[in-house]
Amino acid sequence: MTLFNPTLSRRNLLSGVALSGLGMVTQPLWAQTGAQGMVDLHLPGKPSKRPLTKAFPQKGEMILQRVRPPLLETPMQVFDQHILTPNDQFYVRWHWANIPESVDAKAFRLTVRGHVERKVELRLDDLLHGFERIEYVAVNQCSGNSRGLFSPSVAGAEWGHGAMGNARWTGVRLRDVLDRAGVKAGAVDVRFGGLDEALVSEGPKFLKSLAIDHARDGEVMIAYAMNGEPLPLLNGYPLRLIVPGWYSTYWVKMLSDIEVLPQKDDNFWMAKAYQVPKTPFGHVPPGTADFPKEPISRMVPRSLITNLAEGQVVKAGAPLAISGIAMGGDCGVAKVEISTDGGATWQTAALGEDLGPYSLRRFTHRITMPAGRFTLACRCTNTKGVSQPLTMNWNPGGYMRAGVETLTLVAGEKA
Amino acid sequence: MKGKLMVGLALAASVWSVTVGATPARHAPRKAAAKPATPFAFRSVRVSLPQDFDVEYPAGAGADAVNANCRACHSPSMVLSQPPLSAEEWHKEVRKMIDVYKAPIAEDQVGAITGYLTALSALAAK
Ligand code: HEC
Repeated sequence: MTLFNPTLSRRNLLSGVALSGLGMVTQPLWAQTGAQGMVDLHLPGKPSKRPLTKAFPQKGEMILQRVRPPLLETPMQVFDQHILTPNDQFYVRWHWANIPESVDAKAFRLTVRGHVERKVELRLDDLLHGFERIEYVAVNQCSGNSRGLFSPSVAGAEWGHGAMGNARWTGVRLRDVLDRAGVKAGAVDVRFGGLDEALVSEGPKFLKSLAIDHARDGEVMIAYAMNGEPLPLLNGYPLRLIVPGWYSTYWVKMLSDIEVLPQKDDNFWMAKAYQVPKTPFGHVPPGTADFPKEPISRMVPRSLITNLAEGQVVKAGAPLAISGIAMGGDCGVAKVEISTDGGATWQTAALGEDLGPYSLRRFTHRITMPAGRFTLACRCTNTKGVSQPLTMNWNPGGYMRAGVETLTLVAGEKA
Repeated sequence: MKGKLMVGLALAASVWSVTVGATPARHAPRKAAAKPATPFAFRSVRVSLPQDFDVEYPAGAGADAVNANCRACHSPSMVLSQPPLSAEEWHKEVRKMIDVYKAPIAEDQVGAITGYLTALSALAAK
């Protein structure tokens, strides 16, 4: 199956906007792929438009960031329509393209090994029938969500705000599964691996670890369902680690291997990648390269307006409904405030249903604006009293973006 | 908090009375042998992921080296969606592909690849 229209020959793909001199094309090739429309993610100082696609299995319309390995972003309207993100529009993010295209449910085994009393190999049915079932709603957000909006820009997956999703997860406690194997005294980390493999044999397989106490906290889950359905393959079928309140890099997909380690995990994905400054909101002044680092961990509060778009014209002197989503990060949402004057004054928004501390929460508000351009902002404060900073946070990895986001709108005669 | 996270089994059972595993037919799920009393059964899943090996980088000096070395592990869009980077930054990216991700790239290709990417960035930044 080819995502791009096979009738477009190589020559066709390469013709188009050839520039004088070097004969190069500055428009991404995907601009010529006959995709189902384009979305502008409003990314400053870099290619900003992305095609929409329905070409991925078990997925509806998604924003295409990368075909292989898939990076699919959830369009903003989905968050406006649903507080639980539908499985077929839940974002997708893989590091290596060596992803199994089939999973045999009967042959599948989850292995627990390493610094344990006995190695255990569990079938899917063992998880279903042999352990107590738990369930909760939690936001899964990519560490690099909104990286494309970083200014100054940084290299990496240039996401808009849609590298996140909120789902009801069902499964078993990681602690119960570890206890089945019997964790030995002296365990330090628990490392998780999935069925995906590096594309070159010497390449670093994607592996992530949690400290043993975190792994045994009774909240971390091995999920076999998402919103009451099996996970789409691209979201990790058949099993996914759920680490509520923590960034998605730890939520290992197609989880098949759990290794208890008697020492700190020093594999590439823990020790070198996904490092953030050891500061609140992982913030350092833009351009800083040297600072004490630590592996990314807990999420921080965020809020986004979902029913209005950058640059939109709204009706002056008439009530304007504002709707959006907020997350507390590693705890619940305490309040969301709205500002129409660039952050000088704030009004409290109404909060929607509380689906639990790790869930997204809807907020709504109404304003009436006189004619003219204005800056609309929203700010979440979580139940630990942490508020989104007014100055946007920055770090060279492009992680943890969580400062107050703004939209510039124009109130006019006609909306 | 922890109490809140737990669900009664009775409630959970009702969630599971839906036939899960109902992936679209074209993905040809194999039938799992579900015991009648089981409200939930895993089905095998088979999908086909889109590929884009036929997509090449824009023409330009050094494009052959980039096409030969920068398409195996990921789509060109990973590279083409980056912000404009300097020669030094592109050099670091190419080194990272070789040193960290073990891209099998001949050392004598690095210059041509970096040159191509830097020229592309310079054009985009205009
Ligand atoms: C051996 C496999 C491999 C090859 C070959 C390869 N890359 Fe990568 N590249 C990766 C991986 C793995 C990532 C990280 C992917 C992710 O995070 O989703 C990556 C990411 C990137 C990124 C995003 C920024 C970053 O540092 O993560 C850029 C830019 C990039 N590659 C450029 C290139 C260029 C240019 C070439 C050709 C010289 C190349 N790649 C060849 C494996 C490879």
